[in-house]
Amino acid sequence: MSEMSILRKEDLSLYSYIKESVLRNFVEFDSDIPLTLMPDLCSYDSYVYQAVTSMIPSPTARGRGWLYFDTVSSGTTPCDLYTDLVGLNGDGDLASGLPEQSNMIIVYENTTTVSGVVTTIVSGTEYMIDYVDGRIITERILTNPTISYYWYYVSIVDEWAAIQAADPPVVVIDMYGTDKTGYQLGGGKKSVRKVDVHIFASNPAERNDLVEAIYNGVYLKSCKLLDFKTGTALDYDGTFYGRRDLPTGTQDASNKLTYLYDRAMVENVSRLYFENVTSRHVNLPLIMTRGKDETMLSDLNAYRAKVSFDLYCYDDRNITT
Amino acid sequence: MVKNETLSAIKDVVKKQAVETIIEFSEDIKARIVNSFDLALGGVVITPGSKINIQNIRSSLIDQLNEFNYVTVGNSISMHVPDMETFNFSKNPDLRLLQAITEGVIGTFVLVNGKEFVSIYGHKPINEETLEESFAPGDMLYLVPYSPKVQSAEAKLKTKFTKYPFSNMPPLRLFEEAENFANKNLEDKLRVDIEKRIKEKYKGS
Repeated sequence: MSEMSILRKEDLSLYSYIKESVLRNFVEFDSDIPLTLMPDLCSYDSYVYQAVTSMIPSPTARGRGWLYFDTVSSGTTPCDLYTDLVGLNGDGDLASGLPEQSNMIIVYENTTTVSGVVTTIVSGTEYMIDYVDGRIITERILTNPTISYYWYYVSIVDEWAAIQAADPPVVVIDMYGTDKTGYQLGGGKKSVRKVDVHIFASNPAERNDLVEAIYNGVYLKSCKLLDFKTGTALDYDGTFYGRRDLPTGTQDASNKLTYLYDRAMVENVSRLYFENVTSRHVNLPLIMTRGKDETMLSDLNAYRAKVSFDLYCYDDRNITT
Repeated sequence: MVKNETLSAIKDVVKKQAVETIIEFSEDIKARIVNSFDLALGGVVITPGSKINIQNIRSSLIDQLNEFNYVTVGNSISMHVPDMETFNFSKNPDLRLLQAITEGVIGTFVLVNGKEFVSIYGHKPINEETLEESFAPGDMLYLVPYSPKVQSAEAKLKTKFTKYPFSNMPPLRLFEEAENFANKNLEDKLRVDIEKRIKEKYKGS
């Protein structure tokens, strides 16, 4: 399989930084939500439950999903909210990175007894989580299960066409231009990417909050250029990388803490630095969507803003020693 | 030691040449912006009878580029390159339409004039921004979402509103290339032109 290009790694690293660090405070909590069995997706030894919520925007709309890392404590640098642990990655290799969350999602069973309903917590080792679609996969049938979970309030997508698929607030990360120049004698190059972050909010206050958070998140800051040795934190089916393949026999109470999302950086390339950060509100006076007798449920053009910046790094991979 | 009068004269020469160079350079900037417009929108096919006229938008763009203030002379000399913040889109409906294209919109829209707007909603547009030039309601342009209400108005009026061909389109970066060109080339051009002018002026002295 061919190696992921550096552009893709930069794009994914920026996406990851904005979603997991810059907008880390834009999360919501949904509690005691019923889990409904989905018979079509079940097999003889696996049971799939879907969280049924009437929350708007939907926690599982495109670009959102449940939180897969635990609450941030303190990072190793001012630009990094997370402290990496050392352990095994999803392929079983030694790695430094982050474990799957252990207190952002709690599944309950509710058993009716003569003295009332008894609620018990289902151990995290008994199920896998599909963080994208908001599902729980177990090996046994659960009794009247419910769930409490944290979810990303802001939908973050990387293409214009995906904006309409989610209710606001939506953030689009658009990396649209590249310029590479030499920066020293003897090889190596400075790679500069042009980035626009488009913000679509549901009211002016929300727009201002998002603009400020994103601006402050990149102004005089840098982020890791991740190597994605085992891909992104979530696998193609929305489960934490490596969890699905973990043999049942090896699962114990500590497995979430020893299975890490590998956050190794690309070798011989610097961190990603931000510069020339600007922001502005986007107003489109020609667009008339707020007739007094017509309410638009999703008026994505009404409260827009844009944060623009250059993202650069020093690439020394072509220097041979 | 250089006399004060000589120093002052050199400053005047530098200033004059810098302004001349910037004015000359601004022609390149305009050409690049118009070229970006042509590359992006030149091939767009607009149905006959549409409220969008690409040639009119292009003409308005050129007129406004000609009115743009590229150079400010004071204690220092500054060159300005049009961008989304400094370019004046508020002259007429065509430029407003260009602004919508350059910002990109989400959703499917139709274009209506002021009279059609009243037919659909039963009232004039609310919080309408004033344009620098005045236009009759029939000459104004509004983008309205192609909602069931608009579709039923179409049926009632027995008409089809002009579909906005740039619905759900990402931003068009009209000024980007010209800005990059200025960032990369203006300084060198200024240095070369000023050196040349000073050499000519003080040749043999």
